[in-house]
This record gives sequence, structure tokens and C-alpha cells, in this order.
Amino acid sequence: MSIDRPCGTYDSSYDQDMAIVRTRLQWILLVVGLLFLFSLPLYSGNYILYMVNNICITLIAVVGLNILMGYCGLVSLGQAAFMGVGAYTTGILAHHLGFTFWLALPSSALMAGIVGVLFGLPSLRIKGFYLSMATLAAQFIIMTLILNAESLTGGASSLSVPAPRIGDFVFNSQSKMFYLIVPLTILMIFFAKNIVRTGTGRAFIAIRDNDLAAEVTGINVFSYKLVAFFISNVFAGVAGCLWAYTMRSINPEQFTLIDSVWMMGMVFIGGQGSIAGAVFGTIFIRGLDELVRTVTPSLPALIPQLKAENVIGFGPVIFAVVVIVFLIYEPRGLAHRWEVFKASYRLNPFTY
Amino acid sequence: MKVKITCLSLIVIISIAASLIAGCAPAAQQPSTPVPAVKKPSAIVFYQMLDVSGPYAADVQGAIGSVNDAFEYINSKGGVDGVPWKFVFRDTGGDLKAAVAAYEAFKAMDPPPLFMQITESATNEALKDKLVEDGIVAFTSGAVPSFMYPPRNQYSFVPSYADVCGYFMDWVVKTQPKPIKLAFLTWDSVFGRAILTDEVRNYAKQKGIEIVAEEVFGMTQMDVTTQLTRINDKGANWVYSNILGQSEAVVLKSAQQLGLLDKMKFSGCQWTMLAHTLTKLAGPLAEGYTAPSQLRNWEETDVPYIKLINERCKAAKAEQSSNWIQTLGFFLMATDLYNGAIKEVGWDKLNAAALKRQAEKLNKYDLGFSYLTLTAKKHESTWVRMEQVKNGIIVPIGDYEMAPNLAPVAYR
Repeated sequence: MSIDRPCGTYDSSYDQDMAIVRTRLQWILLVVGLLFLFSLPLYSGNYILYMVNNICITLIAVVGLNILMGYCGLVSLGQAAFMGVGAYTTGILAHHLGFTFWLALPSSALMAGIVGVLFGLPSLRIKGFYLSMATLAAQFIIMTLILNAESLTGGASSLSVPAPRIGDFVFNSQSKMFYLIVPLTILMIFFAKNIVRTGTGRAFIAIRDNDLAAEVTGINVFSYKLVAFFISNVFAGVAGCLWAYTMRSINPEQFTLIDSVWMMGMVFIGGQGSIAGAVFGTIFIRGLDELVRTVTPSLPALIPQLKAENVIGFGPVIFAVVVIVFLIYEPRGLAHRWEVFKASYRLNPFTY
Repeated sequence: MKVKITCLSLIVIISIAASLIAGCAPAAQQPSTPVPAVKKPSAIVFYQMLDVSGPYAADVQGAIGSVNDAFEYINSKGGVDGVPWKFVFRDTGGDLKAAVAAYEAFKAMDPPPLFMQITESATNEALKDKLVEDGIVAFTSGAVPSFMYPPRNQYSFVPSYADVCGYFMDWVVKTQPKPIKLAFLTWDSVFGRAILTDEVRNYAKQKGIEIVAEEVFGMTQMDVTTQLTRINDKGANWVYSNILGQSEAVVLKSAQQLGLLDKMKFSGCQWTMLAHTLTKLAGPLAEGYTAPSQLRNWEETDVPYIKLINERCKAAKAEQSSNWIQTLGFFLMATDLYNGAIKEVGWDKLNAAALKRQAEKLNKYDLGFSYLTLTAKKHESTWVRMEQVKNGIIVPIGDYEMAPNLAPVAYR
């Protein structure tokens, strides 16, 4: 018996076979989870809401990167730059042309997708580390263009973005932005989950597993690779648009190579080729980073022998050690750990 | 299946709508009760986000120890109207997202921040609107024109980088052989590019200085020979950089490798002229390096403030750094602002507007390490002087003067 579903859960229709949520317990957990999530602004301060918003925006970009890396096997080191394309498209459209949020969002997604396709063109001839170098170039080329197109982007200075609004209602606080960001994140995750279950998603997986075999079976490898780049960067564009509206002031230093590298790290730590993995990876890295930054300044108070000046800069060291230890003990990512947990729960009280 | 999806959609829509209505509804009116006598807070919390583990780490050396020491000193003298200062700190690692998270974390703390210091230019840029919305007065040591203007809740206790560059131009025209062919070699960042403005370019033209090149490099780059080769090809005889001292050492070392130290002279913004980075890292290459600076130096012990800082730094067994020089003077000024505001409006009405009114009264205020003049139109200091490295020590070669105003034309 497969352990993909709980004991005694059988499909009697095609709808049931395709369902993401199947059991009563899963429905209850989903509804309770959503109610908890959407009521968060009622009992949380701005700090928690900022963290949730920030995690959700990063999550959208990481889910997109996971489609490219985890499902199609293409490496990208330019996801933050593509997010920058989305953010600057939003900034330019909203700041200079007065576009509303609802027009800026799809435009940003489309623009990031198109730019992604352009930088995905080398994937016809190169892959692996060589492709990562091509996408690394995207990070530098895009940022240089943004810095030098001063009249449009503001150059090194900030480009201010007006708060999104529906009629007279202005989304000008973390709690209000929460109601834009979180539903869109859920929608994008749902979209990603479904893409990988379609013929396109299966073609991506075939290309990842063996691109030669995929081509022999009739998959147009090049066009599917470009589609993967397009979809991945549409996600980055949506994330960039939401980031621009959350910060309301964007500059090139918000989309750095380090951000791109960490997005890749989130995919690895979560587990490549798993939407749940992207979610876990993003929450783990962002949460750990924040936890370390919160805890480190209080270390000298807890251990008086430590001199404040010698300890407070240790945050990144602690962060790195935790990540290394994690990767040693769970190289297949958090998604694998989650699968192991689910399997043991479903098989309980039996071991196998 | 369809029924389940419909039910789920309804639940989600209802929960979103309910939360939106609840979250955005006006606060319930409190029944009117007699106003209790105003109690002083137990402490004035100073919240600070600093990069102590990223690219700015070398420059903020000693920042934490110096703040703690400054508070110990001021609190021993009675603090603000008897209320002590308290320090809460978070490391940003130079990451903007971490800096914004720190800002939100501070806002969620009790008491919420009223007065802050933000050092990194990119963070300043990102938070400038939020400071106004949240009623927080922020002082910075990174006066980028795009952050400083329009003047709102942001102030700088150092002159803007554009003004400092203008002051350098005044000096170079007055004292150096002509023609002056100037090249900018600066960081590729908000901070570094703060001198690449039309106001600076126009001022150079007005002074008869030809700007022959504008080159940028990365904050952590350890070699700029490529940029210097291009600058040399364009015939520059002066190179000015808006960078920190550790990168100026990189510029000087690259110039030495190319044999350019005799061919062109080097200068930079106030943050290049730091003993704990420039002279320590560049060694003999820094000899004769001349640049504007607003900071007094450790050796000026005839100034009582500098004498005091020397004593306190020695007592704390801390390494000498520019942060030690600035911090106590900055908080003595902040204490004066608070005292003035409390005298004017009392503890109960103490807010950003009251602090701003006090700040804008400062006229050649003696910070100990420099002077500070702030007005409603200009929220940044204007006092600066030329300094030079002689025998490994930074010494002043002129008195404090007002830098030219190179603020965006619309705000002059």
C-alpha cells in the first residue's frame, strides 16, 4: 500500500484522484490553519505581520525558483534580480504612470517573465554551473541597467511607490498589506502545486531527470525550458511587485546577489522538487535568521563573562553553523523529513 | 467535492472580510476618565540597528561599547530629567531586510521608539517615509541627499556627502596647482553614488574643475586597478571617493601597484579619514592623504571633550575608534534635545514634533567632536574642516568652516 495517503483512503472518482486535500482531518486542518492565518492581524503586532509579509513575499519567489530548479533542473542565480525587475516595473508604472495595484501586478509579472525568458535563452546550449553563470550575469546586468536608467528608476536613490488602494481604502500598513500578500501567496502556491501536476510539469520533470531521453520521447526541451524560466520569473515578478508596495521605496540594494544565493539555499534546505519544501525552506531560513538576530544581542546579559562587543557580531556564525549541521543530518531537505513524519503517523502503530 | 470547495471558499472569504473589518475599524472610544498625573518613564530607550557583522562592521567598531559607556556617563549625571537612558540593539549584517525587520521589532517594543539612529544609507532610504508615519525622529551619519530631502523627520549630525565634496572642491581650487582634473572613484551603492549628482557636477564646473571620469566599484572589492587604469587614461590628477576608510586603503594600494601615487592625489569623504581604518590598513601609503572631516581626533587633548573621551576609552580598555569620539557627544546633544522638549511640552506631550523643534534650534552647537547647526530647511550639519595624515597621525590643517550647500536646488 502506498503511504501517500492515510490507510483506508481510496479513490472512487477522477475528482478524488486529483484532489489535493482528501481526508476529513486534512480539511479540518486546512480550515483551522486558514482561520488562524487570516485572523493573525487581530492579535499580532506590526513586527510579526512584517515578518509574515516578508516570508510570504520571499516564499513566492522561492516557489518560482523551485519550479525552475527543483522541477526542471535549471539553475538560476538571478532570482533576486528578476524580483527587482518586478519591483521596478511596479515602481515605474505606479510612480510615473499612476497605474493601480491591479494593473501593476500583472504587468510586473509579465515583464519579469519576459526578462527571464531572455536570460533563459542560453539554456538551449548550456546547463548546470555554466547556466548558473549566465543567470549570475543577469544579476549584474539588470542591476547595472537599473542604476543607470536614473530618469526612470531613480538610479542609486530610491524610487517611491504609492500605497495600493481599492477605492478609498489604502493599504498603507503591514496589517493591511497582509490581506493583499497572504491571499496572493496562497494563490501562487496553489498555482505552482497545480502546474507541476499538469503535462507541462511532467515535461519539466522529464527534462530534469534526463533531457536527452525527454527529447527522444517528443518533448520540445528548449521551449519547455523557456516556459520554466517564464513561469519562475512570473513568480519573481509578483514577489517584486508586492515587495515594492510593502516597502514603498525601492533601491537596487534591496535585490542583491546574496538574496539570490539565499533563495537557492531555501530551495536546497526545503528540498528540491517539492512545493512544501519551498515553503519549509523559506520559513526555516527567514525564521532562523530573525531568531539569531533577536537572541544574539541578549547573549552578554545571559553569560556576563562574554563581552558585548565580541559576541554581538556572531549572529551570522551561529546561523551558518545551524544551516551546516542541518544539511549534514538532513541533506534531502525539510520536505523529506515531513514525508518521513507523515509516513510514520499514517502507519502508526506499525513500523512498516 | 464541489460542495467542499464552495464551503472552503466561503469560509476563507468570510474570515478575510471579518478580519479586514475588525482590523481596519476605528478604535473603540474609551469612556472619559480623569487624566492621571503624568508619570516619568522608567527609562528612555535608544533603539539602534547596526551592521556589526557585514560590510560596515570595520567602520562601526567600538559602537556598542561606546554607547554603553556614554549612557553610563550621562546616567551618572542624572540622565534626562532624572530618567536614565537604556540601549537596545540589533545587528543587521548590512542586510536591508534585516534592518527593516529590526525597525518593526523596535516599533513593537515598549516603549515605542521616538528617537533613533540609523547609519546605513540604504536603510535610511527605505525607512524615510515610515519615520514620518510612525512619528520617529532619526539621526543619521549617512547624509545622502535623496534621503535628507525633503527635510522631514530625518536629521544628520554630519554634513551631506555632496556638501563635503563641494568643500573639498573649494579647498583644492584654493590650495592646489591648476588645472584640476578630478575623477570620482566611488562605491556602487546608495552611499557611494551620493556624490554623483547634478549639483556636485555643476559646482565643479562653476569652480573650474574638470570631472574627467566617474568610476564605481563594489563595497567589498579588494582591487581597483582596472578603474584606476581608466582614470589614468583620462588624465585625472585628483581622485575623490565616497567610501569608508578600509576601501580608501584598497584604492591607495591599487594606485601603488600601478605606480600612480606620484601621478595623482587622492581624497575622499569624511568617512575615509578614520585612524582605525585608513591609517591602520594603508600604513605609510596614507601619509599625506588629505580629506575633509567633521571629527576631532584622539590627539587633540587640549579640547576637554577629547581629553574626557581618551580617559573613558582607556578606562574601558577599549580600542580607539571614531565611534568612541562621536558617541558621547551625540548623546549629550540628544539629552539636551530631550531636556529642552520636556521643558517645553512636558513628559506627557513629548513627541517627534517637540524634539524636532529643539533640534532646529541648534546653532553651532558644540558636540565636542564637531559643531552642529540645524534649521527647518537644512536637517544636516554643515561644519567641516580639512585634515591630513602626518607621521601616521590625522591632524587638522584648517579650522571648522561651513560647507557649501549642494542640496537639491528645489530645497535650498
